Amino acid sequence: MGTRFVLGQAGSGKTHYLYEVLVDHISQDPLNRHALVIVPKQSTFITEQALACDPRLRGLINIRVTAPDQIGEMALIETGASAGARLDSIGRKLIITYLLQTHIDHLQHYGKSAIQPGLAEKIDQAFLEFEYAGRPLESIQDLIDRFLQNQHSASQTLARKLTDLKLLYQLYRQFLERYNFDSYHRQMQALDAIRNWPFIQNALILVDDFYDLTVYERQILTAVVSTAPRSLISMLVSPHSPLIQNIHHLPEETRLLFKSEHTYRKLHFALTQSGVRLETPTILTESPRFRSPVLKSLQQGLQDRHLPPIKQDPDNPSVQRIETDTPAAEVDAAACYVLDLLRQGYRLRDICILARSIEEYEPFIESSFAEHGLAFFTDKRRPAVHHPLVRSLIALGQIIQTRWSHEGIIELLRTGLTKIRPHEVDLLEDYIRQHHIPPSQWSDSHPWTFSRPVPDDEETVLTPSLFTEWELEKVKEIQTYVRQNLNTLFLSRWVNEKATVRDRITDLIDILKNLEVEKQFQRLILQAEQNKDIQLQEVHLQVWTNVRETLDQIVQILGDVEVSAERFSVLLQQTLSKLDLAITPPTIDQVLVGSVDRTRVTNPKVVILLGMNAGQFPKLIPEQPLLNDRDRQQLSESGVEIGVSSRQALLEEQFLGYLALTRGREKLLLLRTVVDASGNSLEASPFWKWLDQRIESVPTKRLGSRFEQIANPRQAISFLLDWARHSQTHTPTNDVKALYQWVVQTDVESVRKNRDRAWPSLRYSNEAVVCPENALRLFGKRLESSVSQFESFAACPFQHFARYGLRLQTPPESELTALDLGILYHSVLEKLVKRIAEQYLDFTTAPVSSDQIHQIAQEVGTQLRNQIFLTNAQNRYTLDRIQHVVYRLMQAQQFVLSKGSFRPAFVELVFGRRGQWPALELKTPNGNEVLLSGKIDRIDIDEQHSRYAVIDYKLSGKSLSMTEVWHGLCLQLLTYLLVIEANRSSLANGNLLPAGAMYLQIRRPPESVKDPEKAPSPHDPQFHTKIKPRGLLNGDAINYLDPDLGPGQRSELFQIHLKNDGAFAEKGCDAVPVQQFEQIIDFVRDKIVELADQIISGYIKVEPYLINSESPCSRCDFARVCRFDRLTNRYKVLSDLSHREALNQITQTRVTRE
Amino acid sequence: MSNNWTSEQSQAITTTGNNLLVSAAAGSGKTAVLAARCAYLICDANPPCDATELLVVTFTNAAAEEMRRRIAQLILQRASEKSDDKRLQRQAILIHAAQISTIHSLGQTIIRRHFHELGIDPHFRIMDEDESQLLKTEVVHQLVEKKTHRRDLFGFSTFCRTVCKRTTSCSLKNHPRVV
Repeated sequence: MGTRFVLGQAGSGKTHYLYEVLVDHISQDPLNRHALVIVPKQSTFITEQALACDPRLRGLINIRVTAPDQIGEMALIETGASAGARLDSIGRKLIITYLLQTHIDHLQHYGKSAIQPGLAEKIDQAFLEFEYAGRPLESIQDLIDRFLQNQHSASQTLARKLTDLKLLYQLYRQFLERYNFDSYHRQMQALDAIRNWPFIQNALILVDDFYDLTVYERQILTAVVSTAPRSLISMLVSPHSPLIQNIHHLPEETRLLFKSEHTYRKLHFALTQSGVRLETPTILTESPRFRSPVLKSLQQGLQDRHLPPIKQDPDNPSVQRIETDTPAAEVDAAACYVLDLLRQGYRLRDICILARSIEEYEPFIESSFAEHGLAFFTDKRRPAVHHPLVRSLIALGQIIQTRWSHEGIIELLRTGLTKIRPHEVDLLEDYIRQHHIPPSQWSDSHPWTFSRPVPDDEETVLTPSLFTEWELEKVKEIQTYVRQNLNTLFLSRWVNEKATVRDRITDLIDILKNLEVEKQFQRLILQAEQNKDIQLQEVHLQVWTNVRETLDQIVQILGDVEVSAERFSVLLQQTLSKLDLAITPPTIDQVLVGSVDRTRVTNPKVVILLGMNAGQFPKLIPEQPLLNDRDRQQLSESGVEIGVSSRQALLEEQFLGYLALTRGREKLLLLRTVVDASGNSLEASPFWKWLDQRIESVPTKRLGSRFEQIANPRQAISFLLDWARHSQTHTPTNDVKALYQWVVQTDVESVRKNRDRAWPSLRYSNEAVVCPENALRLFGKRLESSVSQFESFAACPFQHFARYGLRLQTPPESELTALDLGILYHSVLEKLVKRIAEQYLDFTTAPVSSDQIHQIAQEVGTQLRNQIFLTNAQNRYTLDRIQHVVYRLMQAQQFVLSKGSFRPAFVELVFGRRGQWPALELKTPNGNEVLLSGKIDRIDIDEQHSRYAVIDYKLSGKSLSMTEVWHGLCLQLLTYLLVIEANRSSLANGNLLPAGAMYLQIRRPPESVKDPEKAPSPHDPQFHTKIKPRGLLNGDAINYLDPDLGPGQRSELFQIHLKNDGAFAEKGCDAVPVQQFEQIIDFVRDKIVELADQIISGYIKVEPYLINSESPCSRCDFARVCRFDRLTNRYKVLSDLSHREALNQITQTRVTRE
Repeated sequence: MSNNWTSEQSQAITTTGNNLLVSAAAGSGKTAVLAARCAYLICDANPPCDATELLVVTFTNAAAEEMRRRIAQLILQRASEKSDDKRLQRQAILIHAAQISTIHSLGQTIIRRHFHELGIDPHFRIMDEDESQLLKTEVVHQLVEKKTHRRDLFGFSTFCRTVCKRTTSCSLKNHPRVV
C-alpha cells in the first residue's frame, strides 16, 4: 500500500511492470477490485486495446482508462455535481472573436489586429497556457505592475500585452459565468470532487506514458494519488540519473531525458508537498523491449556517450538507412521495406512509421501504400471541411455573402445532399455558362428564357437555346427548386437588416429541412453501411453530431447578438471550416503512421523514421507571435511557467530524437532526402549522425534508379514500358532482360492481367482515320464551305475535321472576347460607311462626327450576344471607347482615299448563303465541286479607271505573307478577288479590273518615339498615313491608288516602293507586276480545289504544320481532342520562304501547270 | 580553431567590441572567416554570446544553410573537445535556431513578432507566385470595374491607353505590366 514511482529508460519494461501489478491486483478479487489507468489522451485507445487483449483480465469492466482532464469531469458527475455545458475550442474561439470585435477600442496592444480571424485562436492559446500554469490571467495585476515599473521597453511591451490579455480574460470569464460555462471554475471544483470521489478511494491507480504535465494535470494527479490507497507512476528516467540519488539535483537542460526527468522532479515535489508518502522507487535497469542487441546497445549508447560503438551483423542488420531523391521516393522505399518485412513473416501491426511532421508525408503515404496494397492508419485528427454536410453549410454562407453567386449555388447542389442529381447540376452549370446568366436572375420568379451565342464561321450569331425541351424543363425545375427553398435568404431582413444569430441559424436549419438534407444524409450512412465502409460511416455520424453541436454552441454563445448577413456568413464559414474528426482505426492489422511527438505506440517490432534531415527533425518551432521568447523569459523570471519558448522547444527535440530511435524492438530504418526540389544538397539530421557515433558501419543505401524501387507488378510493367519506349537509346542490362523474361513468361494472374493491358500501348499511334464513305457523307461531292475552312485544313487536317466535320465547339466565354470586339467594329463600320455613302456624294469630304459613331455603337451594342456590351461597367466603357478608334480610322481613310479616285461602293457584301451574290463555284481536278460562301467587308471602286479594290478590316495589323499563301494558310483575302471576278457583271459598268486586296488595321497601337515633341500630331496628314493598308496590289493600278508616285519613290499611302527604273522593289513592296498578280490569283484557285479534293477524300490526319518553331497548336481549341503527341505524331514541316522566293514558287507552279 | 589563418584573417575573426567591415577579393575566404568569427563569438569570446543572439544575413537560402552548417560544425567540434562544458553543448543545439537567414526571412520574423503593429493576422503566411498572380488579377478586375463604373473617364482612359496596346479596359486586366 502507498505510492511508488517506477523509473527506467526507454524499453526497460515500465508499462509491462504496471500491467503485471494490475493483473495481479484484479485477479485476486475480480468482483470487488478496480483500477484507474491514467494515460495521455492519445494513449487511451492503445492502452484499452492492450488491456482488452490480455486474457488474464477478462475484460475491462473494473478498469477505467482515461486522460487527466476527463478524470475531473468523471469525478464531478459521480459526486453529484451537475453536468457542465460543453464548450470546446470552437466555442471558446467564438466567444473571444466576439469579445475582440466588441471591445476593439479598449485594447492597447492588439487593437489593430482585433478583427483578424487568427488572433482569437492565439488568444485562446494564451488563456489556456496561463490556466494550465495555475495563474489565470485575472490574477496577474501584480505582474503587470512589476513590468510597468521596469523602464526597459520589452517590459513595457509585455505589460501592455498582459493588460490586454487580462481585460479580455475578465470579459471572457464574465461571459462564461453568464452561460454557466466557466471551465476554469469547474477545474477547481473538479479537484475538490476528486478528493471525495468514492471510486478512487479503494482503486489501484496506474499512471503511465507521461513525458510532461501541465500544472493542472499535475494537480489532478496529485489529488488522485493522495486520495487513492495505492498508486504506481511510471516515468522515463535513466537509472543513472543524478535525480535518483538526490531529487533536489537540478537536471541539465542539455540532458537527453531532461524533459521527463524535469517532469518527474516536479511531480515528486508536488506529491510530497501535498503529504503523499512516497515509497522507494522501483528502478528498472534491464531492457527487455529490445530483441535486437544492436538496438539495445544503441539505447545505452545514447545515454552514455563514452561507451564504444557497437558492431552489427552486416548480413542481417537491425539498423539501416536509405537516402533518396524526393520525399515521395522515401515513402516508396519505406513501402518496399514493409513488403520485404511481410515476406519475412512480420505483420502490418508490427510496423510503425513515424516522422516529426507526418503531414508532409501523408499524401505520399496515401498514394504509395494504396499502390503497394498496404493497409495503414494515420494517427491524427482529420479536417471535416470536405464533408458534404459541412460543404453545404459553407456554400449557404457563400450564397449569402456573395449575394447569390452561381458558384455558391452549384457548390450547394453538388454536395449531393439535395434532391438534385449530379448530372442535373452539370446541366444547370452548362446552361448558366452558355447563356451568360447574371446571378441576379436567381431571385427572379419568371422562368428563364435566354438565347445563346453560337460562333459561326464568320461571326457569332444568336440562336435560341440548343438545349432539348426536356433539358430546358429540367433547368426550370431546378431554378424553381432553388428559389423556393432558399427563399428565406431573399427576404429583406436577411439582406439588409440586422437579425440575431439565433434567427439566422433557425432559418438555415429550416432551409436544410426544406432541402430534405437529413433524408439524403441517412442515405449516405446506409450506403456506407452497405459497402461495409465502417470508417466512412463513422465519419458521417461524427460530422452529423459535430455540426449539430457546433450550431448549438453558436446559438448558446452568440444567440442574442445581432449581426449583418455578411458577418454571419463569415462566422459560419470560419467556425465550420475548423471542425475536425477523430477516427479510430477500423481494423486490427495495419501499419500505424504517426508523428514522433504525438503518436504513442506499444512496442512495435519495426520502426521506420521518415524525413531525417536537419530542419525537419529536429524541428524548428517558430516563436509564438503573441508572447514571444523574450516575454516568456521575463515571465519565467517572475515565476510564471507558461508554455515553452521556441528555444526550450529546440532543446526538447533531443528528447524526441531519443524516443524515435528507441521505440522499435527488432528493426530500425531511417530515411532521408538528399536534395531539395531545386537541387541543393540537404543536411542530414543530427540524429542520423548519432547512429554513426554509436554503431559501426550502418548500412546506408542510396536509392537512385527506378529499377531498384520496383515493388509490384504494376511498377515492373510500367518500368519495362518506359524502357521499351526509349530502347533505341538504352541498352538493356542483364537485370532488365531478366525482368522482361519473367514478365513475359510468368503465370501470375495479376502480372498477366497488367501485362495484357499494357503491351498494346507500345503499338499506340495517335492516328485519326475516317473511311472514304463516311467522309463523303460528311462533306459530299459538292463541298459547301468557306475560305477559312480551307485555311484551317491547311493548318491541320484534324483541326478542320474537328471543327467542320464533327462540329465541335468550345463553350462560350462569359467575358468579352476578341471575337465580340471584332463583330462590334465590323458592324459599326458597316453601318457608318453605308450611311455616309447613301447620304453624301463624295465619301472623302463627308462630315463624320464622333457623336454619330457613338450613336451607331450604342445601336449595335444592344444587338450583340445577350447585350454583353451592356452587362457591366467595363464593357459599357469599351463600347464608349470605340468611337475614338473609329473616328480616327475614318479620318485616315478619308485622307487616303481623297488622294486617289477610289470610293467605297459595297459594304458587308455577302456571297452564298442567300446573300446578294451567289456562292463561288469551283470544279476540282477529281470532279468534285466547291461552293464558297462568305462576306466581303468593303469594295472600293474607281469608276474613272474601271478598277476595284477589296478592303478587309482587321483589329490589329497584318501584312499578307506570300509564304502563307503558298502553303494555303492564308487564302481568304485573295479569294475575294476570285469572287468579284465571278460576279463582275453586277459591279458598276461590268467591266472592272482588280487593283488589289488589302487588310485595313482598325486599332492603332501606341508607338514609341524618342522624344514626346517628335510624336506626330493627329492634325498632321502624316499621322493618317503612318499605318498603311497591307495586301497585294496590282502593278498596273498603282497610279490610280497613289497618283503622286514616281520612279525611285516610296508611296506615302500604300506599301509600294518603286526602284529608279520603275520596277517594284523586292522587299517591303506589296505591289507585283500585273502578270504575276494574275498568276497569284490563279494559284489561289488551284490551291482551294486541291485542298477541297483532300477534304472530300477523308484526309483527317493529326498533322499540324510547323514553320520554324511555330505551329497552329497553341491557338487550337481542339488540342485536347487530338492529343497530339511528339512521340507518335509528326508535324508537317513547311519551309519558311522569303517574299521573293514564295512569289517565284507561285509563278513557277503556274507556269508549269499552263 | 584552425591555425592556418593569416594574421589579417585571425584579426577579422577575433576582433570584438566594435563594428567590422571585411572587404576582400573573391576566393580569399570571407565566408570561412565569417563562419569562424561566429563560432569564435559563441565559443571563445569574452563575454561569449549565445547562438540565439546572432544575426547572420545572407543573400540566398542556400547560402544561409551553408553558413549554418559551417558554424554548427565548428561549434560541434569545440563541444566534442570540451565534452564537460554544458554551455557549449547547449550552443551546439541552439545554433539550429539561430537567426541565420535571408533578408526576406528576417523580415518575416520581425513581422511575425510585431504583427499587431501592422494590424495583420498573427497566422499570416507568405503568398506563393500563383496566389499572388490570382490576387493581383482579382484586384485589377475590381479596380477596373470600379473606375469604369464611376466614369472617371479622363484620368483612367488616359492610363489605359498609356499602358495597353489595345484601347479597351478589358485588355488592361491581362496586361503584364499591370498584373
